[in-house]
Amino acid sequence: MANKSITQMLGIFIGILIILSAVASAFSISAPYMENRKLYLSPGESEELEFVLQNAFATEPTEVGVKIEEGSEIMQIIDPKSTYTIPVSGRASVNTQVTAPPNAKIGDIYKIRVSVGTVPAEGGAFTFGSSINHDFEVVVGEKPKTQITGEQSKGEIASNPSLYLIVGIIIVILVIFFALRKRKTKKR
Amino acid sequence: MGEKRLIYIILAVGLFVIFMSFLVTAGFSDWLNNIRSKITGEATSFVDFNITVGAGNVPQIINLTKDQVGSFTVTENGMSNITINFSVVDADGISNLNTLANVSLQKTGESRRTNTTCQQVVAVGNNANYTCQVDLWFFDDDGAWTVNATISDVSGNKAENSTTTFTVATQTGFILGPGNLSFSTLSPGAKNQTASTALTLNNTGNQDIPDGNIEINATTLAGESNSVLGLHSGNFTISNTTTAGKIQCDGGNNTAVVLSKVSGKSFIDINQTGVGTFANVTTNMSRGNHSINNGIIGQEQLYLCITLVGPELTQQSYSTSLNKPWTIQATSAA
Repeated sequence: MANKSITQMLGIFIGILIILSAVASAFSISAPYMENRKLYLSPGESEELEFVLQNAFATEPTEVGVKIEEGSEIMQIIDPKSTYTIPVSGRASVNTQVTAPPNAKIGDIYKIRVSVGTVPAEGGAFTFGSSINHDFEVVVGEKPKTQITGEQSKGEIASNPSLYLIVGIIIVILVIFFALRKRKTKKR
Repeated sequence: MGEKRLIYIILAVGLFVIFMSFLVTAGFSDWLNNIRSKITGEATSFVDFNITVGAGNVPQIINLTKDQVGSFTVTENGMSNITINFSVVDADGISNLNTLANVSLQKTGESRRTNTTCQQVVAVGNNANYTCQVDLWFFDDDGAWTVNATISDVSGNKAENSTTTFTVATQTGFILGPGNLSFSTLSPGAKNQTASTALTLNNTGNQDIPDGNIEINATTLAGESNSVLGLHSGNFTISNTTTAGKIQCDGGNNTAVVLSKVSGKSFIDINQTGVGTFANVTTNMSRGNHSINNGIIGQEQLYLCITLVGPELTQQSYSTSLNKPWTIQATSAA
């Protein structure tokens, strides 16, 4: 009986100690928009990309670590640091540069993963952190031609009935013109 | 001579028909733009002007501009506005114009973001300038959005301009909560104890986090006084479902992910197929307004279970301070 109550006491004590604290586990990363998450570069071409970090819920500055998890052979962080502090209600910029290798072949694809994670807090408790991966691909080659607008594409213009009508009228005029001319020549 | 005249007439009529066809379809300038784009390599854009004709002259919207340069980064988990300016010309005088105009931001498949009370800020002669701010939500999709401005005059004439676009940046984010999570009572040797509340993940960006892209990295909670003892990560399970029958603790039927598969150094998907008729574990976070709080839109809920509290555990604190904190990871991809 005495043993049982000791066990219960221990149990209660352990229960109190296991408290999960999900501190500083919210942030976001913004990346430049890329159609289908593809960045097109010619061999040897470079492009700078700015990523923006925010933490909408922070009541104090948040420290996060940024690293190029995949594709570091062609993409580097050009800031002299890899840990960034996001100010309260503010934003932090992460500046990177992507360079397609000069000897890359057209059509080569490089997978890139930019990883951002909370910097673990020191001390006790059962801490939860979070991390976010942003994936995209670098494609060596020319970017496919941009559509004219979201609403009207080149294909739609090509299939515009009025275009066919105009071409038809021109052909009819030319036929009549040459027919009359021929007739006139014959009369002479 | 008569035939020659006939040829001239046919040619004249033909050219007139062609000219009118171009005008009616508004295609001539498009055609020129198309040729120009082929020469210069620059993309061209088509402009839709919808004009509703009432009495008097139809106003025109010109110089439609935005304050944003480059990609627009939405505010995480909030609303952010973009300022739109434009001028209106009305040959009947500015007094003929309504003082309020509409501006909406549009993208196919997305809700329109509209301000119907765009104010006239300056009016001189037949010209007036308008300005307004339109809010975008954090979950509004990335990519190209079109700015559409409309205004009517007192005679019912309506002018519209959609010549300006801007790009919304790709944003991935989530918040993990609640701040504190606890287990009610953990006795040494206890089995299948579920945390008192769910871990809730809210999507705070504009990207979907699909199935298989939410992962966890767990470590053993080591004793702070005697680190030989610990709550091993392998004695925890996690699931997106909870039942009175403790499905969230059932690693045997794959209705919960057993964290023993996690070494503490790598991540594991919180995603697996249940055995037989047992439920699958599928976690995802679509983009959306998670404040609806229904566990579906922009939200995922995870239930953590301790399948076994080691009978050998003694009275001390157990924490992640010796090993690394647990981490929930989300990946956004195309």
